[in-house]
Amino acid sequence: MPLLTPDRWSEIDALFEQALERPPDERSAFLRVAAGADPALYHAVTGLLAADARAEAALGESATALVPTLLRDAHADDDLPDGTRLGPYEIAGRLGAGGMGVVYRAVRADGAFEKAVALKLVKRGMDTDEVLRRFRYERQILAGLDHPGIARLLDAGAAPDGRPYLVMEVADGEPLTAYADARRLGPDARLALFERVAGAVAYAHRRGVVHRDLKPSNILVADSDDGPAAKLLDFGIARLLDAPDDADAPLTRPDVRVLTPEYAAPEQRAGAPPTTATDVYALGVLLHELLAGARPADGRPPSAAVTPAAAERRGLAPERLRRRLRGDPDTLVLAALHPDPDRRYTSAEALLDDLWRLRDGRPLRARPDSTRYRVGRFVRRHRAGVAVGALAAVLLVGFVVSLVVQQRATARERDRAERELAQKTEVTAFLADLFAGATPEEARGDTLTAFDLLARGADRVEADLADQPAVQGLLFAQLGDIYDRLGDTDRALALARRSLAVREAHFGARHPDVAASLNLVATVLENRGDLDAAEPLYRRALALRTAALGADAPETTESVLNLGLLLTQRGAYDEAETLLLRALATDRARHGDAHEDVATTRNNLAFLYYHQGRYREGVAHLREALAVRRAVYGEPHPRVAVTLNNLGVFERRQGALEASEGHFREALAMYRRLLGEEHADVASTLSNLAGVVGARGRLAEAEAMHREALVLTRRVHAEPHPELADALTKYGETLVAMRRAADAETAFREALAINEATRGADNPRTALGQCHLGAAAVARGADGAAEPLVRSCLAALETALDDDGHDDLAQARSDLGAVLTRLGRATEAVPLLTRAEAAFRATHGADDARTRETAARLARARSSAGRAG
Amino acid sequence: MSAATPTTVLLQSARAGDRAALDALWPRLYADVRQIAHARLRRHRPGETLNTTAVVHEAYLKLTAGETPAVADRAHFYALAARAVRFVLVGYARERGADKRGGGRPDVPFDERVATDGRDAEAEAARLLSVHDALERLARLSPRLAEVVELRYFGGMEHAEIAEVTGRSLPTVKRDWTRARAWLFHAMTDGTDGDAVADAAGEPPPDDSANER
Repeated sequence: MPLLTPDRWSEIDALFEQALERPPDERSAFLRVAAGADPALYHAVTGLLAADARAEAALGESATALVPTLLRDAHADDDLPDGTRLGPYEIAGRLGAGGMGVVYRAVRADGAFEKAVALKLVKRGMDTDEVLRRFRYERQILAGLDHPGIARLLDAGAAPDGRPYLVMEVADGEPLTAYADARRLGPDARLALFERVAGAVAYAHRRGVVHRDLKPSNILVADSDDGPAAKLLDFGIARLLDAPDDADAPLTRPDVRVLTPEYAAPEQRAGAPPTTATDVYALGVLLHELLAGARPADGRPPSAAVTPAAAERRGLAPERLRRRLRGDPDTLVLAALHPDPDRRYTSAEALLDDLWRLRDGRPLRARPDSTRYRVGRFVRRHRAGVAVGALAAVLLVGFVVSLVVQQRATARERDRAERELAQKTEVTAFLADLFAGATPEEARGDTLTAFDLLARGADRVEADLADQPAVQGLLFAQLGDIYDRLGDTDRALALARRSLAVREAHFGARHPDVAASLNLVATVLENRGDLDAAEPLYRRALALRTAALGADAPETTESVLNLGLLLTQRGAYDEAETLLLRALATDRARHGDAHEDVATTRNNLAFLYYHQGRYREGVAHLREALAVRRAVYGEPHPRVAVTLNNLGVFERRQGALEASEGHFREALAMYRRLLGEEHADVASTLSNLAGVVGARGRLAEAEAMHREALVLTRRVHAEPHPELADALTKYGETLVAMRRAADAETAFREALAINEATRGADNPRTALGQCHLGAAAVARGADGAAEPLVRSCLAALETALDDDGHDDLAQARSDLGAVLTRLGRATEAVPLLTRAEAAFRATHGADDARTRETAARLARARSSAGRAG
Repeated sequence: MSAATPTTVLLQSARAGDRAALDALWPRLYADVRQIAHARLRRHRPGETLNTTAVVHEAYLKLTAGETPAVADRAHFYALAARAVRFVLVGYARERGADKRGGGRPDVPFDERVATDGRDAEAEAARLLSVHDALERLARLSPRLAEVVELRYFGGMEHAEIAEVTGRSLPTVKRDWTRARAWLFHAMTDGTDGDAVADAAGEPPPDDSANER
C-alpha cells in the first residue's frame, strides 16, 4: 500500500469490502463492473482478495503464534544461575545489567586467586558482529588502562556459545563520600583524596577513555600504607553496556540504561554522547558534594551550600568551612560545573592542573566568563581542523583529499624550515623573541597561545624580516597555510600572495620555492571555491617543479595530486585520472604499499571514481586505504574515520546498505569519541547514517537521526552551507518514504535554494533538486506535476554529467518512465526505461534493487504499451 | 501528574486527550506488561505461546488495584494495553538485533508458512517487525482498521470484546478484521510481489541521490 492517498485508499477499501461480501466465484465479475474505467482499481482490489486468501494462513489470529521461538528466547537470557562455570570462573550472583550485557560477580573456580571478580557477558541476541567488534575494541582499551586508581581488566574469554566476557577487578572499600564523612576529613584532606580520583580520570582521558558514570558508589576508597587509596570501578563499562547510536523512542526501549541524573552533565541529560567534559562535570558534582556535603543546586558555589551538619562532619565550625571554600575552591568547582561544556575544563587533566595550583597557592587557570574562555571556545571548535585539517575536508565534500596534500606540503615545508632555521640564526632569534613575549602560562602549549602568536607573528614577519627575503617568504607561506586551515581565507590569501611576491623578487620566477608559493595560493583559492583562478596556478607550479626537481620528486607528486583533484572537481575526469594514477604509481614506487601517502592517493582516486559513478573501482581503493590507515594510525583516528565514512558512501551507492550502515556507525562513533558532538564531521556522518537507515526501511529511527543531524548541521555551519543542503535532501528522501509529501517538499525546496546559492545552478547536485521535487510530487499522487520536474532534472543532468551510464541519470530516466507509464504514455516510457535498465545492469548487475525495480517498471510499461497498441 | 496519581484518574484524563496523563500512564503500563509477559514466558514450556489476553487482564488488575474505572476508561485501558503488548513484542524483536541486521520490510522475504519448527528467532523477529511496520503504515491510512489489529492481534481480544470496547457491531468488527489482515499481509508482501496495489499507488522515490559527502 505504498504511496496511496487516503482518498484512494478509502475507495479501494470500500470496493474490497463489497467484493468480500460476495461469493468468491462472483467477485471477479463484480469487480470488473464496479471498477469500470479504472483498471488500476480493479487490480488493486484483486491484489487484496489474493492477499486475503493467504493472510489467514500466513498471519493467524494472534501475533504470538507468529513468533514462538522469539518468545522462547526472549527470556532465555535471564541470569546465569549461581555456580555456572565460564572458563575458570564460577558465577556468584548478579551485579547489574544494561542493554547489551549483564555483569555478574564471579570467583575463580580453580582457586588461582580468591578475590571475587566482576564478569561482564554480552547478552544473547546482542552478539552481532557490530557489538562483538565494539566489545573487542573496548577490551583493548581497558587492557591499556594500568593505573593504581582504576580497577583493572584481569582476563577475558568466551562462553561456551561463543559470547565474549570480560573479567574485572572488584575493589574493596567504601564509597568516596562515605569514607570521607566517616573519618571526619577536613577540606584539605578531601581535596587531596579528590586529587587522586581526578588523577585516575585524567590518566584515562589521556588514553581517550571516558568513564561516563562517575559517582560515589563507583569510587571506592580503602585505607592503605600510603593513606587512603581510591579506586575507580567500571571504567568504560557504562559504554560497553550501553547500546549507543540507538535513537529509538524511549517508549519502545524502556530498558535502555538510565544514567545517574545527579551526576550527569546537562548536555548528557539532553541525550548528547559522553565526552571528557561530561566526566569533568561529574567530577565537579563529586567535589562539590565532598567539600560542602550537598550536591550543587542553582549554580551556587560550595561555600553557599554548607550546613552545620556538613561542617561538623568536616571537623570545622560552619563559618570557618565557608571561609575556607570561598574564592579559589568555589571558582574551581563552578568551572567544572559550567552548564556549557565549552566553558568547562575540557578534561580531567585541566581540572587536575587547577587542583595542583589550588594546593600550591598559585593562581588558578579557571576564570569563569573571561575572554580566554571565549577565545578558547573558538579555537577548540577549530582545533580538529588545525590538527587534522578537517576544515579543508569539509570544503572538499568530506574527502580528506586536499587537506592531506596540504599536510604533506606542511610536513615538507617544516622539514625545509628546520634546515633553514639551523642555518639562519636570525630566524631562531626571531622565533625566540616571538615566544618570549608570551607569558609562561600561555607557553604551556595552549592552543590559544599559538593562535595569538599567529596574529602577532604576521605583523612582525612583515616589519622585522624585510632584509631576510628567503626566511620572510617561508614564514609568510607557513602563516598563510595555518590561516587557511583555520578557515580565514582572506588572511590566508593575502599572506600566500605576499610569500609569492617576496620569493619571486628574491629567487626569480623559476625557483622551486616560488612553485611552493604558487601551490599555496592555488590551494587557498581552491578552498575559497575559485577553481578558475586556481587551475592555471597549479599548472604553473607543476611545470616549474617538473623542470627544477624532476618528474619523480615528492614536490612534483604533490602538484600532480593537487591538479588531479582540482580537475576532478571541475569534471575533467580523464586528465584527472591520468594524473592520479601517475601519482599512485610514484607513491608506491617510493614507499611501498603500506604508507599513508599511498592511502591518500587511493582515497583521491576513489573521490574521482565517485564522481564518475565507478563505485566498484572506488571501493577497492578505499578498502586498501582503510587497511593501511588502520595499521598506520591505529584506532580511533580521524583519517580512519573519514575512510570508513567514504566506504559507507560508496556502499550506499552500490546498494550494499547493511555494510554501508555498519561503516557509517563505526565512523560516527569514532568521530564522536575524537571530536565530541559539535562538529561538522559528526553532523555529516550522522546525516549519511540517517539516510541509509531510512533506505533500509527503519523510517522512524531515520527521521529522528535526520532531525538531530539537521540541528547539528545548522549549528556548526554558520551560513547557508552545501552540507546543510545535503542533509536536507537526505531528510526529504526519508520523508518521501514516509509518505509525508508536503514536508518532503519543504525540505527539498530549502535544499535547492541553498544549492543554487552555494554550488551554482549548473552543479549536478543542484540539478538533482528537481528530481527530488518530482519524487515528492509522486508521493502526493501528482504524477502530472512530477513530469515536468523530472524532465527538467534529466535535461540538466544530461548536461552536467558526461557519463551516460551514471546512476543519477539512469534513476531520473527510470523515474520519468514510471511517471509517464502511469500517465498513460507508456510508449514514451519504454525507451527511457530500456536505457535506464541497461545502465543499472551494467553498473550494478541484474540482482541490484535498482535494476530489478527498473526492469519491473519496464515490463509494466511494455504491457501497457502493448495493450494500448 | 505525579507517579502517585491513581490509574483511574490518569485513564480518565488520558481518554479526554490529556497528553501528560498519557505520558504518565504509558511507562507504568508498558513496564507492567513487559514484566508480566516476561514472568509468564519464564513459566512456560517451549512450544507454548504467550497468552496475551491473560497478560492484558493481569496488567489491568495490577494497575487498577482497588480502583474501579468507568466502562469507557476500561475500554481505553484495553486499547492501551494491547498497544503495550505490541511494543513489548517489538522490543523483544529489536533485542534480537533483527533490525540491526536488515530486518524490517525491504530485506526480509516473507513466506506464508506459519512455521513453528526450524525457524530461528531472528527470522521470527524480522517477521514481527515487518508486521509492526506494515501496521504503522496501515494506521496512517485507516486508524480504525489498525486499532482492530492491535486489539485482536496483539491484545488477544475476541471479536465480541472488541465490539464491546469499540462500540461497533459484531459483524462490523469481523469484517474490519478480515480486511485489516488482508491489507496488512498485502503491505508485507508487496515488496516481493510487486503486484496491483503498488502499481496503482505509484512508485518509490528516486533512490539514493548524489547526496553523500
